[in-house]
Amino acid sequence: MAKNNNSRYALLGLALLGACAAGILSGPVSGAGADILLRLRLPRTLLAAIAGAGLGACGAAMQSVLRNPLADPYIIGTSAGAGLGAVLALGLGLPNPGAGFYAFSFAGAFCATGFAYFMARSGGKTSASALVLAGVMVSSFCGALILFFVIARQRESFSALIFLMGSINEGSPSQLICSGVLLAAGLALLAPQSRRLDALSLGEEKAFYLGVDTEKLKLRILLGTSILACAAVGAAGTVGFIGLAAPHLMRAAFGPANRRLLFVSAAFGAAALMALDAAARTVLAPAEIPAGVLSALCGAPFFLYLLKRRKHEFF
Amino acid sequence: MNSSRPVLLSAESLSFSYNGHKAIDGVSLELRAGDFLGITGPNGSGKSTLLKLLTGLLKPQEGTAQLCGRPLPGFSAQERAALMGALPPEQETLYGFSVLETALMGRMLAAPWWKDADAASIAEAENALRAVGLGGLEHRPLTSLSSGERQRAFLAQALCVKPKILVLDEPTSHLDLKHSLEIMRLLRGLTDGGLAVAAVLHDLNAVAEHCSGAILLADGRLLSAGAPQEALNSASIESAYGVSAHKGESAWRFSLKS
Repeated sequence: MAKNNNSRYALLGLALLGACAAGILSGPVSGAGADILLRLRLPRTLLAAIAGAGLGACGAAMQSVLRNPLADPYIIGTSAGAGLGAVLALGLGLPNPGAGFYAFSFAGAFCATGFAYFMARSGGKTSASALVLAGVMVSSFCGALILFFVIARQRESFSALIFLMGSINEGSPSQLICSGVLLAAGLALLAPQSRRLDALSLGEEKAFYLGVDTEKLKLRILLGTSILACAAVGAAGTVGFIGLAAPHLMRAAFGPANRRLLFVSAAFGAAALMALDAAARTVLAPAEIPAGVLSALCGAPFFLYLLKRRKHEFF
Repeated sequence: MNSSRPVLLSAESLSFSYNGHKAIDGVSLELRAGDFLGITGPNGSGKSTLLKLLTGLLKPQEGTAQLCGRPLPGFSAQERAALMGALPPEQETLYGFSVLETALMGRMLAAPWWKDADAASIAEAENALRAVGLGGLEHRPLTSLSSGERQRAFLAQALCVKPKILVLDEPTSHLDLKHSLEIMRLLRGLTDGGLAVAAVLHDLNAVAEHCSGAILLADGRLLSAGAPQEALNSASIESAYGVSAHKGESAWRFSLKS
């Protein structure tokens, strides 16, 4: 516990700076360079950082509260729920960013996560495999509703598709502020719970005996993770697997204590999505690939690796 | 049992059913400071359910449980945990908290999240770890320990809170002979200091040797209770387990009925 993590923090800081620089400097340049960097690339890179940080911290909290190393806002349906809420808001003519847009997105995330958890819970226990399956179903259902909406209301199809693919645009200052405030609010709600979250990650019964009000804690974590998912979706749509990979890699480097893990996962998630967005702009330039496509290309094999490693639980 | 010591935990006519099946049926008991109560009985007799009712994890459908003279539901989670520690049966451990972090968890739960553990808490945790035989393993991750070592780390975690009552579900089930004896000796030592212990134990000879009191459950009912030599006799053991039981010179011997 007293081990010196300074060099690891320094590496993480360097990764953040490097990814930020790549986000600002990479991609096709047309017109006045400095103007593009400041007006377009910087806000876009900051949006990617906010979304990645939200996903990283959200994944860390979910993996602890659900005692499931495969939990992630994308896999258990939180992001799809937030995306559906966001698309419904757009359909109702609510602007992004805006209070109504984020309220819909939050409600979608909260209901989807709560429903997947409720469906996976049986006899006071939540099995890892049942939760992943319930999450896949919730995601499919929300995805189908989004497609239904896209076909029914063709006018909004492009903005709606953004939420399906996970893509970051040149964000406006108000979008940056809204998502940034939500990220800060989610972290502020989760951080004070981090010691209780540690106890809960050992098992509900153990946490109860240590003095944790487990039901109240789970509700708070559900609220906090839904706010973070909402911040991420508002900034970048439904980007997968960053919430899965960031806590895994950071747990290996910094240990499982949530008072550190939440923040280093947020930092790693931010670096990862900034780097992915930079790559998304350059790999097929001048065409752009949605960052969500790249994150799935990297993240899906990682998920399968974890699944294989834990196969005794699934098969 | 000595009635001059204060009653710390009591149950009055507790009953609990799972889906219509009565798991605990009208069980009453009393645990005083310094008692070491062995709870025993065959599989499915309701031992773990009784512990969950005594700790407040389950709410009885009939009857009441009292902690230090107050009804258990009136306690907040933190108040209850400060008085009563508990060790559930072994569960899968997913994340590699260090042994020291694990022991410290109970003490640090209410501390501000940004604060590191103070020197006094660390010293307390290290003492508890030494007491359960894990001295020197403080920085090992839980995931690298054997299940017996993990169980002892969680016992240290429960001891670290300095509770008045300790409730244990099969504390020696994953332990080898030496560590099993050491844990029983440790628990006996703690009860000498005034701690009250209630433990589910399958080894009737261990109950007879180490416990100050015993209860024998069968089909959710209290079959016998009292000092171990009274509660555990040939008739009650045969009735509960359906095996022949003979008391040898120093230990029980069991055989299947022909």
